[in-house]
Amino acid sequence: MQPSEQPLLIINGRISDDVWQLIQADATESFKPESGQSYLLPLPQWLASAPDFSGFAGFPGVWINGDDPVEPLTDVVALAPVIAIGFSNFMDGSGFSIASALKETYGFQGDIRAFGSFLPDQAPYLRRCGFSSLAFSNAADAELAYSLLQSAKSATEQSYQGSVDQPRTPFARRLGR
Amino acid sequence: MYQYDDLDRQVVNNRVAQFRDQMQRYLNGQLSEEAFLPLRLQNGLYVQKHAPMLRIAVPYGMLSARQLRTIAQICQQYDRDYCHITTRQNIQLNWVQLEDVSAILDQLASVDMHAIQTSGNCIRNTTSDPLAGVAADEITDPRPYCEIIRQWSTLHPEFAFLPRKFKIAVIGAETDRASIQLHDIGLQLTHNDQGVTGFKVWVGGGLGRTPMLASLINPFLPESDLLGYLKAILRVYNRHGRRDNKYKARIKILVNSLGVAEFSQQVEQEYQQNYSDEARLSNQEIDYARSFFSEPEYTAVNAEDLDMQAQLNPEFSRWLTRNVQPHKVAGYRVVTLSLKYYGRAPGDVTTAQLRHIADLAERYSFAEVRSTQQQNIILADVRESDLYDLWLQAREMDLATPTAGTLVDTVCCPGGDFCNLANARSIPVNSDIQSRFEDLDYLYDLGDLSLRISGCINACAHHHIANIGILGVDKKGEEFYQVTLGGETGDHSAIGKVLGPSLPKEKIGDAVERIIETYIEHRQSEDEHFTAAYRRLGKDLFKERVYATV
Repeated sequence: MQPSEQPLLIINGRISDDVWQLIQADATESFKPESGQSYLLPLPQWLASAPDFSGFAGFPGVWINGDDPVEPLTDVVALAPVIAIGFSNFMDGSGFSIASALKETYGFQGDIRAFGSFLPDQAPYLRRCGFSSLAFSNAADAELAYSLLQSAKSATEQSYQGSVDQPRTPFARRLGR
Repeated sequence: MYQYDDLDRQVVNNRVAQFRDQMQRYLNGQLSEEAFLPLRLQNGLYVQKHAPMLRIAVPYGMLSARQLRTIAQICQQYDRDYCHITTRQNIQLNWVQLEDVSAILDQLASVDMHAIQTSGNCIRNTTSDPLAGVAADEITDPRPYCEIIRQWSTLHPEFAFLPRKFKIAVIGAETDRASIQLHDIGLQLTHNDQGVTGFKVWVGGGLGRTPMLASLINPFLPESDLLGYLKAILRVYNRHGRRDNKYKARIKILVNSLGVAEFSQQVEQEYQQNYSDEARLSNQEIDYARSFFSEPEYTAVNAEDLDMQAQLNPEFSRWLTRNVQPHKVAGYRVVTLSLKYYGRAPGDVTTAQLRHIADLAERYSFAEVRSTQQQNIILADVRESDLYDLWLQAREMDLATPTAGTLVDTVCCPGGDFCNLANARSIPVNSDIQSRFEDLDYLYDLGDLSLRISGCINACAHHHIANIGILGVDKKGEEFYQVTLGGETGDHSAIGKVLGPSLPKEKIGDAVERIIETYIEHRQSEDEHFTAAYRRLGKDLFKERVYATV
């Protein structure tokens, strides 16, 4: 996973700069937190620094890859404000299930972020699976994803499943359940 | 048949608009080939040898006369006046232009049809028993559940980028006419001791490079829990299925590597920990889904003259024997309109035939038809007293070839004539074999016998489960064919065994003839089916005969 230095972010339906700095797994040896900076740490590093996180401005976020096990996140969900899920390839949709499981199984309330290789066209599905922020490495992709999310608002409403936040069975709403 | 409401139309229209935008960006060069690939595949669009191929979804095989006419119109306007019925009950257009696809999707949407999820690594069209609702051995009509699964799986945000394609089949009868054990998930409706309706759940079947029969992972899943349980299976697969090797990416490989017990346990755990009321199907919802599949207004008829008509007309009698099946309601029959006319590609149907079938459906079968895995069309509710007239009219359009269930009711993929994936052609092989078995009395003497021809290991024609299966392989640029014997579908599903080294194209017709001769010479009686004889006699007898002469 090689995100750009300063990704553009779509968060809460707006394009903004990213305040979270992602620390690569191979950079943790020399890593020293700077005051006032927010960090996304690799899971092992996050677990090693938990729960007091001395030297950090606040609780850091955590990032995992789409094919990592989620069970270690049991300890993370209560403290981490962000869990970022890396997409190694846009054909690999395991991240969609991880985000959904974080919401459903672990009741994670913080920001679920997608980073890495995914398509702007996947943004509406990512949103419905519980991703609340999407980190893009270029402005054109971020803008396209933003416009697709805007136009997909009604498509989410007009869907058979709803979203992980508001799931439904296909006929439930039509029968006024 | 299910009738679309506003939500169904919105879902399809939104998808058409989304696809039009994606196609436009692709044609403008704003969307890369690589990124467009999964997006177009999810909408049934392949890029083939000669032209793009568009696969249209036919949910569990149900089609109205009105839909047939629109398909005919599309074939006439945008294709070469014909289309192809696939082995998963869908419809394929082999000659469309990329620029026309959005317009075709608009026309389909006008009759509540689409191409959503007919290809790609997502949940595909749910298939079912072509005799659903009319079979005498049915416990519960599977179609309401197929429709619920259709809706649940359509544009499901979590399962659009799975490790590989995913196929679900549902049956509601004792006899399996949908090969559920060859699907990623197979569901069979049943009742428990308390009379509650539910499903037996099989997981991990599939053909391709590593053919496998599915394993039973749950002997009774209450109907209310269907969608929550399907989600649990899909989530375990989406998280843990292999993505490093296309040939090891189907759920069958995951089930096999974890073991059935461990896989079932993981599904159960996933299911239990995310159990929620929102995922439960209420009785009200299930009843609502059922209301679309209530019985038509059957009218009792006296059909005393059927035997007489058959006696007077041997051709009609043959058709009656082979192409007409019993119906659960006395006085009605189920009719197979054959798409296996000698000299034509199996499953191909012309514009004129489509319109004729629509007319026949309106005249004789409540304006509905079914497409079948066997690549034929079924009229499910025909009065016995109408059979003779129907036969005469079906014959006019070459739809009454009286060979259903025989050796020449071949299932065949488009093969190397059309498909990019194919290693060899399948249609000419079928023509060659068909031409050797034109004697109907000889064919009938062979009884039920299945022949399936796939042009490559993707096994679209499901050659593994044929009594006689033929697989096209590439040998240094030459078309060769491997023969498998002893495969079976349904209640005794079995994977066929390779007979021996692959054969060149010109030898394959001879090989089939030698196999049939061996069977005829050695069967104990006319009642001993080919596979029974094959199992009793063993492979070597057949092998020696075939390879002695080539």
